[in-house]
Amino acid sequence: MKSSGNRHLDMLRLRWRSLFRRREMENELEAELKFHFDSLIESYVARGMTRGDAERRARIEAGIPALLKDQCRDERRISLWENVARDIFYSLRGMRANPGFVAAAAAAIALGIGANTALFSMVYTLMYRPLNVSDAGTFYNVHVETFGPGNRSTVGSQYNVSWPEFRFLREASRTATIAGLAEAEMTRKGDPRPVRAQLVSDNLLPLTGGRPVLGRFFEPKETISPGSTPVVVLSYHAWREWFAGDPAVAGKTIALNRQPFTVIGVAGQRTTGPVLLTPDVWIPLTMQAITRAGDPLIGSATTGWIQLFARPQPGQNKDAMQAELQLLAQQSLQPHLPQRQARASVEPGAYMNFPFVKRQSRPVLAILMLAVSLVLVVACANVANMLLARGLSRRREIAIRLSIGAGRKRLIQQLLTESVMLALVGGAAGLLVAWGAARVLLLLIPVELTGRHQLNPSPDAAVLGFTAVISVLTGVVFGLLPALQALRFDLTPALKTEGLDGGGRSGPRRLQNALIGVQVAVCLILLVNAGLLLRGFTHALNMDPGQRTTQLLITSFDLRQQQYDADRSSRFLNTLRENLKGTPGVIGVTASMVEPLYDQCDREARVPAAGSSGRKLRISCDSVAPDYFSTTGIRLLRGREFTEAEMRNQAAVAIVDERFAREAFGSSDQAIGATIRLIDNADHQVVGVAAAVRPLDISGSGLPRVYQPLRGIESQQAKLVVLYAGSPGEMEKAIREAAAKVDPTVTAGTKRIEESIQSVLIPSRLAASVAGGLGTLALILASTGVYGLVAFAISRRRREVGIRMALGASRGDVLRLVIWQGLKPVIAGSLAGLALAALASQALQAMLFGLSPLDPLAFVGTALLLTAMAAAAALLPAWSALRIDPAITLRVQ
Amino acid sequence: MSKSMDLLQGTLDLLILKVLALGPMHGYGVSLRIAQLSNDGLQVQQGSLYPALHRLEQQAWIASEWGISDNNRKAKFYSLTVAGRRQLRLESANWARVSELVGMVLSANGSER
Repeated sequence: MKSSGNRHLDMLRLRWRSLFRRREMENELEAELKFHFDSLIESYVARGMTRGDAERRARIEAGIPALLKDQCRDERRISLWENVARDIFYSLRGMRANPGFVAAAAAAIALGIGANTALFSMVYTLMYRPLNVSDAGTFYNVHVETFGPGNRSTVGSQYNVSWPEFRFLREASRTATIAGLAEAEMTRKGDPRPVRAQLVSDNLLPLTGGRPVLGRFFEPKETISPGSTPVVVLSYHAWREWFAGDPAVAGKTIALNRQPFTVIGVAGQRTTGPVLLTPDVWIPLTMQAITRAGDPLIGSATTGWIQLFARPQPGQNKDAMQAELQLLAQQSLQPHLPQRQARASVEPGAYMNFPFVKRQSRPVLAILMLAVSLVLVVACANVANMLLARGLSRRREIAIRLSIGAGRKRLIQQLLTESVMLALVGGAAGLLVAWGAARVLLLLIPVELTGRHQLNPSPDAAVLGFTAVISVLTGVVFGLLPALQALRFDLTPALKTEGLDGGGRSGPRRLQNALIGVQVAVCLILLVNAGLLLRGFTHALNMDPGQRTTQLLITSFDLRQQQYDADRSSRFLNTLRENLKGTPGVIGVTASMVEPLYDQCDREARVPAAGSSGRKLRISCDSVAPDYFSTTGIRLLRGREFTEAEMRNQAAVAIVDERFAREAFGSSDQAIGATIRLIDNADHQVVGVAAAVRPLDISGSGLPRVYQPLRGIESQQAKLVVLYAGSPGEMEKAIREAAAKVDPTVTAGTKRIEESIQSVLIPSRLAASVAGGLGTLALILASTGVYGLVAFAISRRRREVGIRMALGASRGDVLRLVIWQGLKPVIAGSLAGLALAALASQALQAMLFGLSPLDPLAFVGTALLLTAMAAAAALLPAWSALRIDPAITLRVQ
Repeated sequence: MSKSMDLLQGTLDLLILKVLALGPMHGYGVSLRIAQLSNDGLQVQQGSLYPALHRLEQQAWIASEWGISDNNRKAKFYSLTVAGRRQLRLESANWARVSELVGMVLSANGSER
């Protein structure tokens, strides 16, 4: 190629040619070397040699042509890519020739990578995946956090802002278009199902890129003055379900929370809102008061309830918004909380990118991530062992390639390419597995309870990228050891037939045993912890929670949606309790704020109340009606229940549990009559001491508990608790009728305490089944690993077995020998695994309901299970080895 | 190159550049010329020569072109580029300096027995 005079340009052109005009380059190289060769011959002939001698001489001088060409290509720096392409081709051919091996290895990898991909896509979908809005890259969540002096509370997420703060931010921002949203459950007249509403600013729907298919969205003037504009935009599915897709729906009226709303438009099918749950309807933010009767948030400057969304204005970006909103957030507090600090953060839009969610989920995710990586480790060790075995049988091929001049580095590169290709096949299968699993899991979500979600389980570029990267890494990890091992031997014996046998050398066998040991150990870590979680779960089912777990019905009402204020709510509950008392089948009736067996409250109490020297105690709390303890079966150790009068008068009395009495006063006797100061700064006199209950709620605080009489505003959300005799169905009907007699518009939702136990235990059941699933995967992998090892060892030692049997060894002897060989690494791995599992299980303490993290049953049980599986896996190939006819095996050689 | 006369790393590159400075030449010609100029003292073998030629071309110090050889056959001719000429000056000066220094060390008096 002619020089252009510019060196860098020349180099670029050469690289281009080397990469893309390969055939041409190859031909040239060939011709160039041929010319040299011919010229040499001619010169030798000219010096008087015979043609034959000259050719021989030239050939000696030329060396190995293939090697020379390789070196020239190397100089052109293209060999790397060319080699990769050739290796890929070569490994594909190899894979086609060995479909059984590929299927086995790919299946193992698919399980390992599938578990990892599933976890990744779950976390990614919730925390990072762009929202289902148009132009999602420029759609942001804005989180405002406040701290310091002054009282400010939030409803919903802790990053929500109040109505005046929202108005200020929206008006003042020059860098961002800011929209607000709040979620509420409402009741539609004549529909027993709750209606999910999104309360929005006028610009929210347009900001998400939504378009009305009918009518219009909100106008700015409709979201300014509180309470003035009862208009509603229907979601597409609500329009279809409630109005059968009536094209003339605009202008019609629907009653939500007893308030007539005028339908102004219908959103398109793809307009689903920027949060996880898709709403049935949108109403203006200014209609907030009717979603929360008696406790309107819109009038409070210090209650945050509006979630913020933003897009940069033309010419602005995230950094500019971040800088400006930080200043504005601080200014927004100025009128009502001048001393308080604000911190604003602008995050790329995602369903759950709240800083505290990220913080709090970290430990759980860390455990999950560890678990799925352990499964992958087992899969890697498993496939590495398969490759090792295969490497031994490919020795001859490798020896030949080495002896004809292939470099060791090149061979390692080729072996690694093979394993990476294998891993990619496994990874692709794993992706399908994870996708399928995600779809199934999403189908299992009870949408009637949680509301329609818009989680999309299908993999996108990020998930594909993750799977590809993890596959390549996996391929390198499980391929490296066998590749290095495959090259570590002497050429000469390997080329001869005895090299095929690989007998006598302990290197690879030791490595194989070590890999089995690793699989068993890691598998045991997973299994033991799964066993512990399962034991913890059954333990929770069987343990005495300190209260009745049968014959209780728990009923909740939509009093808030029905515009009930505090007075009306308590009147409703009191009347209902009174009326039910006479109903046949009702043994006891009461009410409480917190559902029995749950533990949802974390507060402080000061003891003793008098003086400032009091000790602070963290407590869990509940507010209850009279007869609570007799109805729920919680034993009252001292004192008495609350009276009707105490509840009606909001008397400053309290009932504490045994633990609180002991911690605060030393004993139950001393607690009676003492005073404690609760969060409302009122002194409460202790009138009773109850036995401690054991909440099944693992997210609960598990702290000493203090009960107060149920207050009016709490009645709005209190649960009616009924102790009944006879059939729960009859009783449920009776309660519904009794409630309808007080107010027919109120909807009652009833569940049995047994159902309540099931749902409160969902997290522990989920943990146990996830751990169990991963443990089972690992167990399958490890068992097939042991099976493979033993089968392989036997196939290598057929001759030895044949000789032993020919010499009179009994079948038992041979069986013992073979199985022992297979079980040695299993036992070593088990011991290591048990020790590691004991360390790991400490992290699960909170989910074990008091069960020891060293529970011997879980440890010994799973170790036995694993050993039994391994023994069976070893027995299978050993058994077939015994059917060997010595005469045949001896003849094979 | 012959086993008894291992050339220092980079020396072969310098020799090739020098030979090509005399005029365009094919690979075989380069090996002949080096042998001739060293009175058959330096035998450059193909295993070293061709990788070196490709390396130098890749560095754009030499360029190649197909032409007709003395014996009337198509051959690939290499020639020095402008950058190659500069490189040759640089390397020659460098070589001269190194050989002078090595000579100084080796000619130190007295210590050799």
